[in-house]
Amino acid sequence: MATITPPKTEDDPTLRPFGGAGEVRAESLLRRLLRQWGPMTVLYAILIVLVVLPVGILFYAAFTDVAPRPGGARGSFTLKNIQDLMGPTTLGAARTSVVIALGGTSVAMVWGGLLAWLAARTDVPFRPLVQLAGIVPLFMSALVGALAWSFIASPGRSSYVNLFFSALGLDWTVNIYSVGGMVFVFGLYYAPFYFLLLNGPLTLMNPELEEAAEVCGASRRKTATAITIPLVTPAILGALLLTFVLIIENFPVPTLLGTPAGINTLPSIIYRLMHNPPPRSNLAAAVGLLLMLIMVGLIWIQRRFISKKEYTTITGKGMTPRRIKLGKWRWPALAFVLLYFVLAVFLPFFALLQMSLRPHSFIMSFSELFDPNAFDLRHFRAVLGSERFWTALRNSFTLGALTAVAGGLLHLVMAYVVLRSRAPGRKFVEYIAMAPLAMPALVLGLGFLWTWIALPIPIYGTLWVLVAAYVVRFMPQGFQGMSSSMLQIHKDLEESALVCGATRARTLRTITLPLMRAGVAGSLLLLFILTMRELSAALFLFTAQTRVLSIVVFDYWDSGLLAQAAVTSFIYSSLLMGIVLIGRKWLEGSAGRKRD
Amino acid sequence: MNTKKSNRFGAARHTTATLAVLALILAACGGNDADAPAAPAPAPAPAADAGPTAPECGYEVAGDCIADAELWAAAQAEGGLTLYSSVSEARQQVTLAAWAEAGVPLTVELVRLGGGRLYERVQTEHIANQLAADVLLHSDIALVNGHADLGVYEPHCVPNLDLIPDPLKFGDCLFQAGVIVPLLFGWNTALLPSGQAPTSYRSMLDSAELDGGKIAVQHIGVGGSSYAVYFELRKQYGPESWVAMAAKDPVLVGAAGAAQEAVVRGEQVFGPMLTVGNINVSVDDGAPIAGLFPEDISVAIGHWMGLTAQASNPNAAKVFMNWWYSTGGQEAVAFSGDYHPVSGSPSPRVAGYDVAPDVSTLVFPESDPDFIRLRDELFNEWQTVFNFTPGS
Repeated sequence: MATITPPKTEDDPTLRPFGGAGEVRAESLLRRLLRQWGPMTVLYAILIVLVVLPVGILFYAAFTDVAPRPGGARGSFTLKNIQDLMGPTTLGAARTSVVIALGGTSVAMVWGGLLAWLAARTDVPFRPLVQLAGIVPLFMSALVGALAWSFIASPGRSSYVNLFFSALGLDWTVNIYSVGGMVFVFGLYYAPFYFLLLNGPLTLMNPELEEAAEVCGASRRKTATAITIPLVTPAILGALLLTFVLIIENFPVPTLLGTPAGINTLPSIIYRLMHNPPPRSNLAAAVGLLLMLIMVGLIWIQRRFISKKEYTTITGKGMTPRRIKLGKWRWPALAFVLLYFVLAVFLPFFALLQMSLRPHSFIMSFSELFDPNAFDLRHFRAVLGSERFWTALRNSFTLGALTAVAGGLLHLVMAYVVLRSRAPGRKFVEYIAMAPLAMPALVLGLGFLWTWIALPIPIYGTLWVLVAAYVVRFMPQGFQGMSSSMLQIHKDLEESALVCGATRARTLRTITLPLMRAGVAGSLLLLFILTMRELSAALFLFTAQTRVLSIVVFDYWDSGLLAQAAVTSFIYSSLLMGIVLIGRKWLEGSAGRKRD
Repeated sequence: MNTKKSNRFGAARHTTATLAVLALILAACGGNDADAPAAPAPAPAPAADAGPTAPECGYEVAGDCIADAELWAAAQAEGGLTLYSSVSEARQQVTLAAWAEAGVPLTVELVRLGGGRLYERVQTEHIANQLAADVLLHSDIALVNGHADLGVYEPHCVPNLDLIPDPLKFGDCLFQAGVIVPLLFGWNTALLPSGQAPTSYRSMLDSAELDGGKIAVQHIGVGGSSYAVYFELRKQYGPESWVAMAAKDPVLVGAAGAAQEAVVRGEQVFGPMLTVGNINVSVDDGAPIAGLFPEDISVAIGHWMGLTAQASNPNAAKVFMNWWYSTGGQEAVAFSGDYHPVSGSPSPRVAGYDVAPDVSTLVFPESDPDFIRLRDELFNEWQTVFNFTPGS
């Protein structure tokens, strides 16, 4: 039996009285305050610099008449920006944006949710292929996807689908320059978000609940709708929120696919506000403010919905995974997967390669697509012979790695503080985590420029300012990913370790993180890939030395050099696909396999 | 709980190592410095004769001294400069390739941004005393004046300044036109036979062949170039010219490059505001596109060059600017498809033209006081007529 021996004051300098008992109490209090508030103070300071200041300055800009450049003239308070926001064009664009976001989110949910369920819980044939199909489209940014699909399905006679119809003698045409076209593209390229955020929870879910339902006579559909889906509700809502906001604030897709059809969306208006001279940054910030208010409301609804229920499915009890038998639906399910793969990966890659190998983009007939005499490598040689390309490639990889590590660590800490600590102000941390979602990345980039250029930390003009920007830009995704995985783990597992004397750090390292491995791996991978693809946040911050690949692609597109844009997109999408293929083992080799 | 400790982070280490190796491989790779766009051959390069000939000249290119001994020594110590430019990527890379071909051992780092973003960047950086640009090449005279008012520029008298017409230079060597960009008609020759293509804005407005979404054109907010064309069109043919143009239901795009590609791909058949540089690239690639200077209004706009007051490499910047306005720079600009402001400089290379029209035939709306004065009013009118918001 252990004996608790009180410490001897002559041995312990902190308890050795010098001058009286009052001084002994002051030292302990100080240490206690540091222990309780020190880490949180550091976290708050980081979040204030990274998030609060840039968002705050945008808030300020929305209500003033002069761009708040550090050291520049101060503007006067005005509501004119808000009034301009209420004009018919902007309101119409807002409605269109909401429609597109709802449609894109719904389509992405169908694709991504079904793929995740098939991969995690069913006996679909070629399950590794399903896992692959769910995440491989991550390699392709929405910009590149829109570019590729404009080659495939634009209304012009050189689009590949229209050429195909013409070759068949059909008087049909497709037009991707439409609301439906944008919904289609968004649905394809945001499905992986659902897949990644649902795959982990579905894999880690305790199957006993579903087994109990089936034992009681519930059909597979009833089990899915009454048991499975409700248990992954946090992940679904998280993915839904993320996807909706990412789509509504995405500007490359509506710029490429909407503007030619005269379709106004909020992001395309914001882009024009900031790109066309003279820039109207204050009004752009006001639009961002509107989106922020919507976002805060959505988060509030989501959190209230989740907080009323218990979603824990990983406990201290062991469990064996269970695969739902699809029966006659096995092969149709696989066909569904293959269809997604063709639409999201094969066809766009085909289009990028076509555009890369052709001297120019005009095509007279469908057969020309397969005529080797029509191909040459001039554009590949031009791009691969360009020092700018290689510099951008190195920068992109470096940036991706740094953002994944730094961002992943920060997001994990934030998720832990919010979900596992009783630290004061943790709700503040949660809202801060989601705040970057609210501001369109274009506008947020402006906030970064106005804030960090004036900081005493000399990161402006370096790669580190981009790291900081991307850590903030993807804070919602990273935080959401870490939180979703952490929510699946019951607290009693960790509390058991704490009761047995383990420190919080050790508990996190030996209990929590291993159980979260799938989620952590997915989050880091997602951060890396999103960073590689990101365009908007870098537009105001890049320099000649820190140019990244997305900027190179955009510059080529803006200059009308589509072949060079296609070459660059093809090369770096291929590299990203390789990264995704390597990284997917982190996902499929998680808890499910261990228990197998 | 995971008991297989040896595999706990095995996958992570494997992936990290793979990424590290990949990054190292990529870091070892590199291209050469021929950072030019596809197709066009480099500008004529007098590199073989580069170097000082006169005792007082520090560095000479194509017979022109671009730096005295003192300036050259200082420039060499700096090693290079940073250029912020709003000229399109394709055309800018052609001129920079010519600089490289000329053999001047100073690197030029290019940051290319559209007019609005470039303006915001420059203003913010300058106010924060962190302007990274040594040389600015900026479109839209209204924006450039804004920079001048803020003290962004430092005077530097470039060579041949006396040969630059007065409307194309401002202040006492504060800034001057760096390139003059003409805007041409362009059409898809496979879909619109040349005989049917309009040769003037008047015939374009009158042509029923181009009704119903067959025109790809920039909206009025795209830099100063599109506004310049709309301004001149209205000036010459009245407000009804805009109404007539809007009635053709043109497809409004956000960049000259986007309009050009739409024409080449056959989404539309005609573009009235295309740049020579882009047309040259497409024609060199064999695309079915032809360009034409409109007979009635051939509009040109300037991109304005100046030395920045906060330049970190002022001497290298001066050498670059001296080259730009020397024979070598004039030839490079001409090869890229733009006119050079120095009188008597070579005509631009324009596909389909043996000799481009003389610069005196071009119209420069930026020299019209109403160009800036009426800007807001005309923007509002255009929005109403075309029912399109360049920026609400």
